[in-house]
Amino acid sequence: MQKLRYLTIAALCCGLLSGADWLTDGGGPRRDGWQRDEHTLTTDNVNDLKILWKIKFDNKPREMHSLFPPLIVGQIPTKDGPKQIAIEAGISDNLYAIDVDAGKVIWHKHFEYPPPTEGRGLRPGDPLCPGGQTATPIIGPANASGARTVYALAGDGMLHSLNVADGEDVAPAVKFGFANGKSYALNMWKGVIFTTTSQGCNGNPNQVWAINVNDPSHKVMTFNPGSGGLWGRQGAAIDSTGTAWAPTGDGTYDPENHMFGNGLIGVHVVGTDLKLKDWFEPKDWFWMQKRDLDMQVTPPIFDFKGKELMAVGSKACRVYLLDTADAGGNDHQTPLAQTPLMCNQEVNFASAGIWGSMATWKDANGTRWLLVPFWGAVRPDFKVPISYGPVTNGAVVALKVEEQDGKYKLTPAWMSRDMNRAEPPVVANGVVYAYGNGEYTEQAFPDRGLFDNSPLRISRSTHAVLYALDPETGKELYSSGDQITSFSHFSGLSVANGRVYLGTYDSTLYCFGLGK
Amino acid sequence: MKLTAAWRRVDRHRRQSGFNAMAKRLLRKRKVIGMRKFLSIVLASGLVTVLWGADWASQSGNPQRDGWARGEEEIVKGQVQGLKLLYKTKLDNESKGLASLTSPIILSNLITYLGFKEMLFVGGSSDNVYSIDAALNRLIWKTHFENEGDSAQASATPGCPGGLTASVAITGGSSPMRGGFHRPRKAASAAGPQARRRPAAPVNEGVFASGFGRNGYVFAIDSSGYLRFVRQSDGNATAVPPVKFLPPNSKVSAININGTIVYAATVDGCGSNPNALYAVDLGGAEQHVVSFPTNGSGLSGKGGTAISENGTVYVQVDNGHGDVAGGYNSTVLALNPEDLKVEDYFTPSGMAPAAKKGIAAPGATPTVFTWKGKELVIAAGRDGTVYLLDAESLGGADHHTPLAQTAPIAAADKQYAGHGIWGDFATWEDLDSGTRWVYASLWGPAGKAAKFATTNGESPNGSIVAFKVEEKNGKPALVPEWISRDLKTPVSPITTNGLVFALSTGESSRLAKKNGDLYTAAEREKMAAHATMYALDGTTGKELFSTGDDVTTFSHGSGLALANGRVYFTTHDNTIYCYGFPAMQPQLTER
Repeated sequence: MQKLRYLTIAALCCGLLSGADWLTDGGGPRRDGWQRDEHTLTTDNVNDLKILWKIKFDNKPREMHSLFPPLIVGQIPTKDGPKQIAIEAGISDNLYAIDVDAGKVIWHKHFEYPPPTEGRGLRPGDPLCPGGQTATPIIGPANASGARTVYALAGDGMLHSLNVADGEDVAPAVKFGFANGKSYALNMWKGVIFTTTSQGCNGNPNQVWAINVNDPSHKVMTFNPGSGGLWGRQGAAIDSTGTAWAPTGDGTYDPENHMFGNGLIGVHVVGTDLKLKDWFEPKDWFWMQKRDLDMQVTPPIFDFKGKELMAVGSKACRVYLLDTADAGGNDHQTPLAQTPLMCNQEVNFASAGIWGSMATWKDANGTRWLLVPFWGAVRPDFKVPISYGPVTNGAVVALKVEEQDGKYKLTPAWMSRDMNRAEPPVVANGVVYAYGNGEYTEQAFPDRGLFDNSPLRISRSTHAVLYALDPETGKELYSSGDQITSFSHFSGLSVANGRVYLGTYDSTLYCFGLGK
Repeated sequence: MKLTAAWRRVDRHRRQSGFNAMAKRLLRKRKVIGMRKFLSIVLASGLVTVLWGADWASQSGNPQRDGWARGEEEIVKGQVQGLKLLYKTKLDNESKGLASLTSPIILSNLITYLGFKEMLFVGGSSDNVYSIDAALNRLIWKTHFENEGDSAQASATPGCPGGLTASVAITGGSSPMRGGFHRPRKAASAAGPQARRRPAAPVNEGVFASGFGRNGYVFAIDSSGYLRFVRQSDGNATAVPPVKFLPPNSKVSAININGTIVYAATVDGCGSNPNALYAVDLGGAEQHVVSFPTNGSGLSGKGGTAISENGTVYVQVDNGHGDVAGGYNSTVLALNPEDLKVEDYFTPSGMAPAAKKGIAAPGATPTVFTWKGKELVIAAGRDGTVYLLDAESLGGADHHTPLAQTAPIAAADKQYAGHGIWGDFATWEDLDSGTRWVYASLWGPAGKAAKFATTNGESPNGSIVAFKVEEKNGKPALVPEWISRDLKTPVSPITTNGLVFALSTGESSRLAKKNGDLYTAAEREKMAAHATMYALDGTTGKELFSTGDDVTTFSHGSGLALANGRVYFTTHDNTIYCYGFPAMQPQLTER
């Protein structure tokens, strides 16, 4: 028995030593939503998921926003020994560090600053512009002693560098963004942090931003695509060359005049400037612009048969497959492959289409999967071999990426059960995690016209539901049912070391796992 | 906004035929005024950044009834030959006599609870109003009006079909809009004639809702004579109570809207109702209907009224009499917008009297436009003479002196053949050359006195005729330019980008049998061929496009509509036809 105990401890230590991290929104710079180092949860045991703990923070929601996807990092040396820590960002300029084994807050940082004087201010009740900290932070690489820095962009536009272990500043904050400017999830490549902005909140331009944390001058680099907001939920995805790919919102396509609305742009650092490297523009961009069907899906990037590919979509509900080395071909408008329209028969701008991001993974057989969440009803003419009843509120569709003789295909494989506004999934150890956010998403009404109002939407929202799905068939393996009591707006899943995390509007972080 | 529209056209042209010189010119122009800066502001505004197309808000497009689709970007010379039938939609409306669907109305973009929609509205004779997604050819809603208590007309006749007869309308015009909001026309900014314009802020917010993303209403008049307010987003017709407006079972000219005042006229004495123009101001807590009886025929033309920049209402009355103008004889009247009192008039000299009481006489709704800083009015006499009038002094001191006039354009007619100018005019100004063009729909052959510089073959059944407004000896003159190919009883022409669209209805122009007896609906149907739409060169009248045999039946009482790369009309079998460019309709082809 004693021997078994030692073996168990050793195994746990090994597990901890080689544990999984989730250092950035979407799991990595390529935003593939694939947790490669998960070993605990399997298709066989995921049905036993339960809430291990939940923490309600003192973070005050702003408009519909509250918590962002937690970042998970193990082996952080603290004064109490190495710990696996979750960094949870709250909209009201809060950062919380949680000992995930204990489910206890280790430290809490609140970014203090005087009320911003720049910009045109925010409009109360506007869900689009909440102000505050809107970007999911990012955890940098470990230094020689194993310490790590978390970079967080406060609501005043200052980029903070904090020690993950204790929340202390490791460097002075530097100006990176625009106060209350609605930045999206931070991403990082070789010391350069990227973010994107949208909705012109507080007068902030819609553009890609970058800053080299090692640059003593702290020069802020930007590229403005002359479009609507760049509101891919997970910000920009970064490919193997350091090119940051970001979708652009409604706007005109006019490349000669540097306008790239309703497209996907790739920018990279040249010297100390951000330069456009390539772009893709759907041929029906004008239609998308006219019907407010923004390209707003952060593209997952992945390797496939010697190429580096990516996929992007929009509220129109079509997925495009692209080569990062030549996005859209010579005319920038020819994808490698594209799906038919999968949802949004009504051509609705608010409650239908692909929102946020996707996930992708390669199974043991070498099949490359693309997981696409969408809101609203599936189109009647979208054919998928496996499905699970009517889909009226949203679902996850699994596509196989296939290539034959140089021709690519996105082949529908399965569609999940109905989910109330399916959000970006995560795949880990052969299990697909997805959730319906439970959010009331209508923005226009017969009697009032356009009325996108936070109090109304909050009052009509229900609660999020976490699902675990079989990766081959989409069959439901687990549902959290009514256990989560609030909805989740523009947050996301994190998965690491046998735990699945999701934050909700009421500033509660849920941690699901297998227990003992 | 015009430059934004122009810029989109640049992109279209680039995609179709490379980056041409026109595109470069527009680019330079755009750069000069800092359009990018403007766009950046728009895009950074936090609002949805969709840049909007143009509307077609009422009969002949706008309250001025000029039939000009301003800001159209796709339907241009050189491209128009590529028009194709995008779709046709048959609605479940029941025809009444010859009446079926009214002229289509287009709202370029409305933020509805179903998403952003380009909406086509059309009235149906059986007291219906329909909304179609104009880009996707999908029925969005249908609203049916129940009779409000007045007894419905027992049977339809060709002249008096009963049911819903007035073309529906929305506020606004035929220019590019942004934001999907349609404000009532702005209040006057200067003293003088403009001072009497209606205030822009209506009390009845429910009907005239404005602002980004707000819903508006479709205005319709049902067979009971009630003015109905149909919510654009979902067709709800009860949220705003209807207003008793006209006598029941009237035949009604197209609705016109200026500020908070709605105009419509009863014509042809239907329902035993006197012919009169009615107006109701919806801006106050209570609605008072005022009327102007013609004591004779109804208002001429399809549009009924034309409204000038200062709100003056221009109409033409073929025959009748009033206190101010005396006896009407193809008389053009300027009416006060609020009380409909006659403020000015023009009666042509030497016009022969109307043919026979009870039989409609040729005539057209006047059109108002600005030429060299001055507002002018175009009107047509019963004999096809076209008159150019000063909007501020219609007939001069003696009320009989126009600024200019043509010779009689129509062939003489003594046996009810219907020869003459009908419907509404169309007019536009070529901004490059400064040339003002005027087009009219002529039924029957041209008269011997009509001398056009360019002809396009014989036109025994009808044609479109074109005139230039030119300055000669310091005075404006009307110069006949061209006459089109033969068209069978064409409806009012419309114009865009130097093109003229004409719809040959297929109907006979005859008003009555040679003995003066009226035709039955069945007889008229038997006499009709199928309708054909044409696109003509606006400077020569040359045929550039024809729908050939696409259309399977005739069109009666419809008008053309054009907006955002598509042209629409309706036919007697309750079908809406839509023509456009398939390559520019990815939503239809899913390519």
